[in-house]
Amino acid sequence: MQLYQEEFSLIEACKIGDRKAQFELYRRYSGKLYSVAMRYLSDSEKAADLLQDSFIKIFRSIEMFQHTGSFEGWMRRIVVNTALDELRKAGKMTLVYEYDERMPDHYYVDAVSEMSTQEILKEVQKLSPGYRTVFNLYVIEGYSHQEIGTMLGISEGTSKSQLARAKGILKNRIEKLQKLSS
Amino acid sequence: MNELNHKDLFEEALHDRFKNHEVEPPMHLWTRLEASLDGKEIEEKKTRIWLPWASAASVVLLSVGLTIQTTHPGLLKLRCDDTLAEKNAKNETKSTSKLTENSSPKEALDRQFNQRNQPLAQMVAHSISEHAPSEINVLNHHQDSATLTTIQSAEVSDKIQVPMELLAQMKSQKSNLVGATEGSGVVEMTQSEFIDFIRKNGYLNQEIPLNQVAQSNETSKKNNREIKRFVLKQLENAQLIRLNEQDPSRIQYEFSTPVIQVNGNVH
Repeated sequence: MQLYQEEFSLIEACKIGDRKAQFELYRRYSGKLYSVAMRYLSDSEKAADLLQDSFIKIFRSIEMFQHTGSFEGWMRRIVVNTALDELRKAGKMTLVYEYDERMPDHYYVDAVSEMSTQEILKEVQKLSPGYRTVFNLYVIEGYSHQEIGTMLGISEGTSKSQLARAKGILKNRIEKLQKLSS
Repeated sequence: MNELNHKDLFEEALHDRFKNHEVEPPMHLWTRLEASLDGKEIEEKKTRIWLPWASAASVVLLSVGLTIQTTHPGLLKLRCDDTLAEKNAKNETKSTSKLTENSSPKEALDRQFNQRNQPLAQMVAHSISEHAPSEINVLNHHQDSATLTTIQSAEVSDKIQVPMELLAQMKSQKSNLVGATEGSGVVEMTQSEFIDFIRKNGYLNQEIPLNQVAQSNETSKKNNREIKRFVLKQLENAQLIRLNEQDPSRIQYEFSTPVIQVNGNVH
């Protein structure tokens, strides 16, 4: 029988510093959390460092988790906030404004469904850090523009425009990839 | 995450793809993480934080007062600042004045002398004795603002080749030059010999009398430029520091800093 079948018991064991429980937690969630880290930092080595720092934070603050919400969501927020800190430290949060072509909204959904997640991830990673961060926070993490504005210290309008440009660039690249593959 | 987040179809499609996406982290990550949790890596990080500070401090210490640079294989140049040396000497006098209260004036003077000469003595000992035992002659040349000290060892391996053509333009007779042979287009000199040579010819720490040498002759002007270029190339520490604005044909070259030059078998 597998140990810590219930997430509750796993978390409680981690709270008392049980190393086996910590490894089990790592084994269960490191893949998902590494995916989050990879979306924010384009370099896989840096993403690995980010994941390591995030897990240290998770294990050190796990006793504060009160089982009131999603544990996975709690961990993802730690990874996202650690990534934002890292981007701020590296001075990569400067928002840039690139020329954005208005793209028609047809076939992008189909195109996305034809691409592998790894391919899409690569395209997301190619976005400049500012675009990438707003895109990740809004589209994947599900934060509102108001929340993103508070998190990044920018206006709601800036968050919206950054997202629009990020999407525009992604659509352009997806379109190019589609043309190449067809 | 929030009700205010209304996604369009494109956003929904991307969100769905990443919602449960997993990427296998590197194999060694758990080991690193475990080490961090045990506090091992934290100490490493602390050490790493000190490293840049330690290296910056050592760079500052090295650059204060002394700059060591190798210009040719086998040649080590040490520059020092006279002004700084004077300041240091004053400080030393101040600092030793308290100590001298209980000692005789001769002892105090000896102590000051030894302190002032210690760094140079150590440096010479290091550069010469560590590499090759040599006979050392120290020559001091005092000029207006700069002091040139040449320390020559018996074994000087580095030579620079001075084209005879340039030497001829400096109005030097081949027969007067050590190492000049019939049919050879170059004369080999050590850098200190070269410095002495160009000093004698008025090309060091003196105005280059372009208007006198060139005499408004285009060819001579070109030749003179060649000489200047060659001299500056050989004397890497020489800098054009002043142009005579009243007479543009007269250009003054000086050492940017006083130079202590050590010639020896420095490998």
